Amino acid sequence: MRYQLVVLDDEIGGSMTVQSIAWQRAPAGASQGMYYVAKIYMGLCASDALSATFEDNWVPGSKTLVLDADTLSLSAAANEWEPVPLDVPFEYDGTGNLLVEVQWAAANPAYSFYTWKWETGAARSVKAGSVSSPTGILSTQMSELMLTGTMALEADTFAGIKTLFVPGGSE
Amino acid sequence: MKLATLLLAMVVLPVLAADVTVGSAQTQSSDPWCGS
Repeated sequence: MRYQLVVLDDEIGGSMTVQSIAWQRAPAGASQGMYYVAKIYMGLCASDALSATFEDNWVPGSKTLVLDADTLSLSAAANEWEPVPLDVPFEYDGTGNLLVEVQWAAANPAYSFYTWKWETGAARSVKAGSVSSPTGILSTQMSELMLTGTMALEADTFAGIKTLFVPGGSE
Repeated sequence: MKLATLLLAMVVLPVLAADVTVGSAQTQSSDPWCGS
């Protein structure tokens, strides 16, 4: 499976160090899933809508491997979030859209771990059955996600902050 | 004093733990894990 989705910059709201990405489990299927040779990449995307050609969606040089697991196990009760901690935090600079690619070579067929998705109104995801496929099928629906990490506050000086509270900008 | 402490924290601690949720629970995926 090869799956890409794009998160718009205004949905994140600023620069962020992404430490984990979570999916919310839907009630169907099993409470666990097991995926082999699983990889997650993050990077930037210049467009609000994806191309069917996976590699065309990356801003050149931005594609970063953030998770690489021989076996990745997911487990959650219905409607619970299942966080996937990244091996390497991703430094999202807040200046473009965040592109996420999930790959796995095989899955344990005994477990079907379904998650929630939503209608975005634009071609925000693309999927192919094989990791090696250069193109996939576009969809206006994409996974519901939760990104967890740290966000940078706007750097300022103490004097600068004081001016926000003092009428006229001075004491 | 409390405001001054808060403002000082904003200067000294310029990062904030955050959870960003994208989308909502509308439809169950047709493929396991992630998939449209």
